[in-house]
Amino acid sequence: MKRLYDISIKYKLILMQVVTSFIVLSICCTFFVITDIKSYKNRKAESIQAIAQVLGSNSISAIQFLDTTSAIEKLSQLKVETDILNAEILDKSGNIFAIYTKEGYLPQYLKPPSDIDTFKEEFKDNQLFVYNKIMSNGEHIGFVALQVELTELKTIVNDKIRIAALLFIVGIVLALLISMIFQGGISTPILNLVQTMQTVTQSGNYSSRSPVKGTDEINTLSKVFNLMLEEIEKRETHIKQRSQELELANLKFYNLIQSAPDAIVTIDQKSTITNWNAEAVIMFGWSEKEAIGRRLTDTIIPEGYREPHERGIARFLNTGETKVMNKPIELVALKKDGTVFPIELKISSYTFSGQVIFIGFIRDIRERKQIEQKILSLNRELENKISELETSNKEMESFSYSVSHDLRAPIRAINGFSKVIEKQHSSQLDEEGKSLLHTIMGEAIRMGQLIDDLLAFSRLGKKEIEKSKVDMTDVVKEVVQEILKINEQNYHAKITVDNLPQAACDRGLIKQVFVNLIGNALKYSFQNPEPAIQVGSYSEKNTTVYYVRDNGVGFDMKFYNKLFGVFQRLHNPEDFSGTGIGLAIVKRIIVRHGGRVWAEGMVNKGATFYFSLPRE
Amino acid sequence: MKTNPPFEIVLVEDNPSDAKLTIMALKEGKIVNQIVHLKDGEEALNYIFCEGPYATREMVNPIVILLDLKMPKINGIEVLRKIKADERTKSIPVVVFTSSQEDPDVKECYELGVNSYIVKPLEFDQFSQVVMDLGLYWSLLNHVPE
Repeated sequence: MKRLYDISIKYKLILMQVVTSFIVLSICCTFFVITDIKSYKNRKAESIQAIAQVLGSNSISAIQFLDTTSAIEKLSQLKVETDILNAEILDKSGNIFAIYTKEGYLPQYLKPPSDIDTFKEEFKDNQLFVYNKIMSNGEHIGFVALQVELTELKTIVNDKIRIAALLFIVGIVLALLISMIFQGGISTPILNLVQTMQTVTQSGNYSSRSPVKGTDEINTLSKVFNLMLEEIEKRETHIKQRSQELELANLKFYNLIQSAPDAIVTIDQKSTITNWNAEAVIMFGWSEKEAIGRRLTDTIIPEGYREPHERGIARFLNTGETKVMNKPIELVALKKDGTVFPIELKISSYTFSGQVIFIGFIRDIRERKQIEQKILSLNRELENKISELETSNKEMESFSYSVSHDLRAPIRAINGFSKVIEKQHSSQLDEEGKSLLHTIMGEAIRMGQLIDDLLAFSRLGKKEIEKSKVDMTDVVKEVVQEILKINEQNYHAKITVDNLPQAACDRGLIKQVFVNLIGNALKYSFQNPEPAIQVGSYSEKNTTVYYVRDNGVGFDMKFYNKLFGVFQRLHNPEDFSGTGIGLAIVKRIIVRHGGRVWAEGMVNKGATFYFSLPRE
Repeated sequence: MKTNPPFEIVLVEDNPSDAKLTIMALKEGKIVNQIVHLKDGEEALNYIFCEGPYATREMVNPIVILLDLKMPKINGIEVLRKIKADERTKSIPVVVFTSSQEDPDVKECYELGVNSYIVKPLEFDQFSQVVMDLGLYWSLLNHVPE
């Protein structure tokens, strides 16, 4: 059987209402039936009493005259009263004087009770017994006794009970209906609240709300509960968000550590490994599972380094002193297979809940060490090479000096003595002899020129380039003036100088470039009746290109690769003088400026020489 | 000032051709001063400081020393250093005579107090002109402190 506490509040309310109604209706109906029966009985008694009185008065003379017949006649008038079963007139001592019995019923002696005053009624076995004293002039002369069947009583009782039952049923049904209607107002909010609570408890979904439909206590409770839910939901959302953030941060951290190119290892202050990333697995041969929980000292520190390591940690924990934290240090480490190899280690630490945690970033520097070794040996080699180069440079210098000194001396002698012969002994020579002597002198001078050019060229190799902003137009004009001063033959050449942009270069060297290029242009266009030389420029990418164009003899592009070589000449010295070093010097100067030289030409159609200089 | 033998020009030159040409050029320029040709640095120092074979020489400063730089035994720089370092000789005008301006010693020469620095021209006419000018300048025009 269900306990009262287990019954839903809804049914409890209905039950309460129904039971209450039941009790009230039961009482009411019973009272109603009893009252009705009682009132019927009273009415009946009164009416029979009246009949008895009338009968008594009518019977006085018959009694006085002992006229039984008259008495019976009087009694037989009671036939109309169908419910009277027996009617008796008795003398004053209670003996039957006359009797009437309803047809079909047995006569019965109706003995008047002794305690009778004037009249008395008795209800017995659904029958009414009425006794009435017959008085005549204040003298008791006899009794009237009536036995009445209460046939209606049954009907009345049945009717009343039926009505009462009907009322009862209607009442109960109404009570049920009303309670069913009104219980909603109480139980629904409570049930809703309970439902909401259950939902929240079971699903953990704090977004559900209990409906609020009014301001009574239950609705207030719901409202407060909803507010509470809202607060919880807010916190829940916040917590969820924070936990997501935390999860993301964790994930990030994990991935960061896992994908790091260095081994990353963390240990607690007891030197127990707490983190061991993928690179550490590769580097040391211990899997993450194996490594975590092991002591770092016994895992990756070679014997002989273990004790200093422990001491270092202890000192740091006690005093905060450290020689190794927060800077890369080079050490050796132990692999699982026993290999000891060089590493670079950087340790940092942080404190959490009073516990110090150390983070170590470890890099395998075997390769680096090898490379360092290699670099060292290469450096040594390089140093050797440099000193060799310096030596050979010095040798070259002294060679140049010797060349300039020693080779010039014989030339000077050849030239000098030839001159002496010419001046003092020419009378002894014929024309052929004199001509040959001239040739000797010319060749000697040419030889000297070659040596000077060669020295100038080699000097370019070691000369420092001193860059400054140079007005190129100015330089070119200066060069043109100087060239014209030296050789008047050049006056008839038409030299056009465009407005040239400035350049960052060594003025002296660039001047030499223009001297050589313009000199060449004049030299090779000399045979043209109207020599025309143009000096111009244009921009190209990050460079400025300068050019010198002439309308001279030009050159054959198939010999182009010989153009800028040392002592390379494309023309016969009989046609054009020169040592063949001018363009080599131009090239060397421009290359040392970070530029480029090139040329275009066609036989007898002139030539253009270009050089580029980087723009700053 | 002692006058015997006066106005001596000392030429320190190891190359006989150059020496001969120099002497010829001086003569061509009508320089009449006595020209003393010394063939290397050692001889030059001996001569100037009257040592060794020249110990008997009376120490008279020449009016000019024409000094070649590149010479066997003791080179021109050393000779110049010694001359300029000695109180007795540091007033002698020294003209360094060299074959080429490529000479790395040029700077040092000036630091040591050379009076003039001449690159021997290749062309004889020019060469003789330079020599003559030098001879004239130092023998006639220049006054040496006494």
